[in-house]
Amino acid sequence: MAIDAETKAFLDLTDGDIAAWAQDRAAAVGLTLPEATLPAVHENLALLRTQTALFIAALGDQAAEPPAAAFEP
Amino acid sequence: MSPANALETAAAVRSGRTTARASVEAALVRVERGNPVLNAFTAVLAERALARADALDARIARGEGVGALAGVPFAVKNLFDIAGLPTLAGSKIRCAAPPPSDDATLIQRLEAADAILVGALNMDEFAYGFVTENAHDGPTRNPHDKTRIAGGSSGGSAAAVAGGMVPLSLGSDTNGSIRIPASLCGIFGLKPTWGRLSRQGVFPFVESLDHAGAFARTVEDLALAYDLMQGADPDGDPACRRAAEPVAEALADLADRPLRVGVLGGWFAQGAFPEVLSALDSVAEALGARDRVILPRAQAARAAAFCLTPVEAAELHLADLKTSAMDYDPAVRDRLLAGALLPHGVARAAQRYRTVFRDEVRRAFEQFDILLAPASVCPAPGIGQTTMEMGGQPVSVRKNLGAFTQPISYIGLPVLTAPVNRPGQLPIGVQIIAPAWREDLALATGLKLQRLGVAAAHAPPEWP
Repeated sequence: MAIDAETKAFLDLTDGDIAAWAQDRAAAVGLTLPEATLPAVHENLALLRTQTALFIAALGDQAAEPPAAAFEP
Repeated sequence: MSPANALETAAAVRSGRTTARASVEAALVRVERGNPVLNAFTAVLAERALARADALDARIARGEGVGALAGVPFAVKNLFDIAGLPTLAGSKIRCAAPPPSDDATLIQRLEAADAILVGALNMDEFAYGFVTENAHDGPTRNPHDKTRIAGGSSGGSAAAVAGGMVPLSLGSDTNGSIRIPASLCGIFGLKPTWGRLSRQGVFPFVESLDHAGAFARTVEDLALAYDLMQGADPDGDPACRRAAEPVAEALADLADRPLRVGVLGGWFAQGAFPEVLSALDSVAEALGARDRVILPRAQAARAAAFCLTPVEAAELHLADLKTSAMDYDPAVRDRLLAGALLPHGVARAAQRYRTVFRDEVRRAFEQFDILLAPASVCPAPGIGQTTMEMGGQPVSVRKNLGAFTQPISYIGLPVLTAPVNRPGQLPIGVQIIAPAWREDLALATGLKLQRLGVAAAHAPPEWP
């Protein structure tokens, strides 16, 4: 699966890794995650990881290809 | 006081049987009576509407020609720019935003046809949701069962029409936000092809997936409004480049012609409530649709839309998330924060998959003119209900109501949601999906179903 390293790292997360990964990512984008939001943010990340895995797997080798410049329906 | 349809109202105003002022005043009375129950409107523009009505009546008195929607009251989801009002998009953090000086393009186009804007409507914050249980403005209630949601994110737009307050409203649809509330409220809703209607002056949610569209009680009303809103607007919305292709005049003939109709199975049947599948069967039978069509990539397409949404939306909101995260609706905030953390590769891959799925659906349309699918997984859930059962598993209402709508908006196809005629029961809608740029086929199919009595808007409640 030819995807970039960041996306692969996200897909490889276990549930136990998500909290630490989220803090690292938040720092990288300059975002502070309010304490009260953490459980829901982690839950959303877990769901997004599962959903991402679905379409990345469906894309196969095309996952690393750039999308069309302008989408035509 | 029974509300008239848009075409009936315009004909009455043009002929002098009533006045634009009387039409607007009647709508304002219905809003005054119905809105305390439904909570569909967040702003009522009585002064502006009556001034426009009086100006229109003066033109009629002088014998001047008037537009096709003369005196028809309409309202818009509160993410449409209205001159002089902050464009809230269902939020608290935009209360202090500078008000726009002009109305959104689609409002201008409807008013150019002499329709009259009477108000702004409730929605999920920043259009991120399917429930319109807005943390700041409260829930919009379903006109057919006040304990249930109207759907979202254009819930106020659907409830305002289903509740008989206005015959026409505008909304937006990114993942199902016109189709879900149309289905749950028992009215027609049109999400045109991506790029067909201008989004100038519409507060964005996910630019790649956002569509503007409309709600009405009849196919004819919807088709007329759609025609009047069409036309390229490349300066206002770079995606809106196509010249107008009017459909209303041709619909009656097109509805008489045989159409090849298929029914989506597979992903589009998994987890649907039995009454939803039964309603779909009744529509398929009326159209002579016997072939099941499986789109093997639909589940992955839905997943891609599901992930693209928070990533793109979070990019738009990143500055506010850094300074004012706790001022967001919690249900929206937590998904935006998660989206802000995702690697860019997720969005790139999600964009890449669009063409893969689009090509699969294009191949299906080589054999069919129309594909049918359920609009919502279930009839309207209760207000405050957080989970429902899908395929024997408890799942989040907010995250799953759009399971059958998301794959279709992901590739930008036009869809008419038609209300299945089920008097006395909770509304259920069906997606009538057409190839890109063929809104005429979707509307003609809806007209055929309406003529057969298989599709019909549920009767609005009587307000005291």
